[in-house]
Amino acid sequence: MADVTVSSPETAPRKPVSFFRQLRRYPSALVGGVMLVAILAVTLLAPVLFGQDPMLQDIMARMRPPSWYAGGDPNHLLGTDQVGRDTLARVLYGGRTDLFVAGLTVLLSGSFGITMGLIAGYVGGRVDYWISTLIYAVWSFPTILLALVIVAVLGAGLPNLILALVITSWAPFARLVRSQTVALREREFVEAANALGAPTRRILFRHLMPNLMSSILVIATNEFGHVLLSAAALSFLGLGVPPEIPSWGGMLNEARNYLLGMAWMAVIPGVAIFVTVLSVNLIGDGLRDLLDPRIRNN
Amino acid sequence: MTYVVQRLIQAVLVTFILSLTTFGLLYGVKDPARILAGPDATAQDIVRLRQTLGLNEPLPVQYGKWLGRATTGDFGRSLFTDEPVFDVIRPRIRYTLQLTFSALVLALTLGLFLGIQASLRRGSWIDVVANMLATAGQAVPNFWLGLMLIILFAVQLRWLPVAGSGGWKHLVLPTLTLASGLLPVIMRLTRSSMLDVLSQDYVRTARAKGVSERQVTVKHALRNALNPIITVVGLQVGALLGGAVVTESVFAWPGLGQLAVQSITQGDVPIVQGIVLLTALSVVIFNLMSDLLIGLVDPRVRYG
Repeated sequence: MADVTVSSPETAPRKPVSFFRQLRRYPSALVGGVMLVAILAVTLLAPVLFGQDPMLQDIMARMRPPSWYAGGDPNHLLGTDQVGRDTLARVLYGGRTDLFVAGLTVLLSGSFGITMGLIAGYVGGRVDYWISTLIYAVWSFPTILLALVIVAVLGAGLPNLILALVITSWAPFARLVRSQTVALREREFVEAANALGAPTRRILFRHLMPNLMSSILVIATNEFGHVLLSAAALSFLGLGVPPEIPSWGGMLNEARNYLLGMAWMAVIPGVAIFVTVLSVNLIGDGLRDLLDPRIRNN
Repeated sequence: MTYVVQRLIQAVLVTFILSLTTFGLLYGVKDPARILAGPDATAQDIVRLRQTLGLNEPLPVQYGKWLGRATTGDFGRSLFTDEPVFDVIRPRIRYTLQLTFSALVLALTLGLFLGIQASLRRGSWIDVVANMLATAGQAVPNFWLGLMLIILFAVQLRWLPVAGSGGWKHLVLPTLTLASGLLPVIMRLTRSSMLDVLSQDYVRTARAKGVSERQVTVKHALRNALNPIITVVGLQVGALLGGAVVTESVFAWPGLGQLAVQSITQGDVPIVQGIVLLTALSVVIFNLMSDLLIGLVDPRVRYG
């Protein structure tokens, strides 16, 4: 194949055109991408598309099954919950919450983790040892448990939830970036930049980081899925998104008391989480295959 | 040898960081005296309580004393029932071990089997199905899967109990739920690791000299493919214990996770500290063992 491989660091950066042309050969990335765009569009446009208020309690129309079941209400396509709130509206607004939490968390934990990884890998020595030990320590806490404790200590609320998730999710970024930086450190282009007197910060973010972008992208999609699942789990346990804000985990938390008669309450938000994480994971898989010359050449 | 020593020193450092975090998180930010005294307490009550609990001493001194006692298994007493923390935790350990162990065994056997089959029959239906299962499995929230399993097997079919503990029937659904996160990871890793190894020259050589396919798979390929699998399983133990927290809550399984969630909600600081430190420490020990195991299996790591 004549095209350039992104994963070998010394080559020139790939042209965006060839990237998208390649993308077509990886249906999973394409399918995932289309799914994600659809999810984003529907949740972001929720207030415009559906007039329903996710908080509005309609006691006369409570515990309605989805409209295609007997006893369903055409005004509530996916039924209503125990206090008569519209499930569809709550799923869409809940999606905004969950996507926002996961997106911001990955952005923050990614930035922090990448910086730590670059420093550890490039500076080496004692600094590397301590950062690695810190990564190891964070990794040793059962993630959900640590996040639960942090939220409990700091108090419930979105900012604290995001902080807890960032603290528990930066380590994979740092670990990956560190090990790849160690491999890149001795390369000529880094030596050249160093010899020309480029400041360390410039070497880290201008010379090293662009070479790592592809693997960072793969791990970021992976972490997005993880964080979304963790956030949902925390909300499910009652220590994530506060109950007054609709969220998928929070909806499941309420649904578990109605498993007997109102199964749809538990099914619908779970499907929403599943489809969202699936779309992001498919994108990640596609990217991984695309960027892995070993698989690509087969 | 130096490899072993280095890893041991790092493990000790990590344990120190863990203990400091556990202590700091809960004593540094929250005032246990206030929780213990309750909402009706006067300022005087709280002052008196702080005195008896030793909370007026400087934090490093408190930490030192706490750590000293913790090393002997003494994490203080529950703020609510006044029972020693260790006595509250101990009966729970067995349940969490039972659950995580059975989930680990299920994920490992099924994950290795499917991963090896998928790698040997690349592109066949078993490869496609295993990959689809893995992709789906990684996207399913495990607590939601738990709820769905309850609806299907306990509520609709009535084959298995909804929740609680007792006979082996109680263990089935929680095990499936907890294993669902780890299984795809092991399966995919086994597949890619095996594919890596199967294309190596020594595998071709083994085949060329007439070694049976079974021998090639097990002795030449799997043994070399095992290395990254051991590493990742070691790294996943933390996630597994975290998953147990959620799974135990779904199924009211009386393990450490359920106790942790209860105690966190109540604000029972000493119990939370005990559980967090105990689980984190077991992750450290598990990781250390998996690293040493790799050093044993693969001499390249020891000297590399």
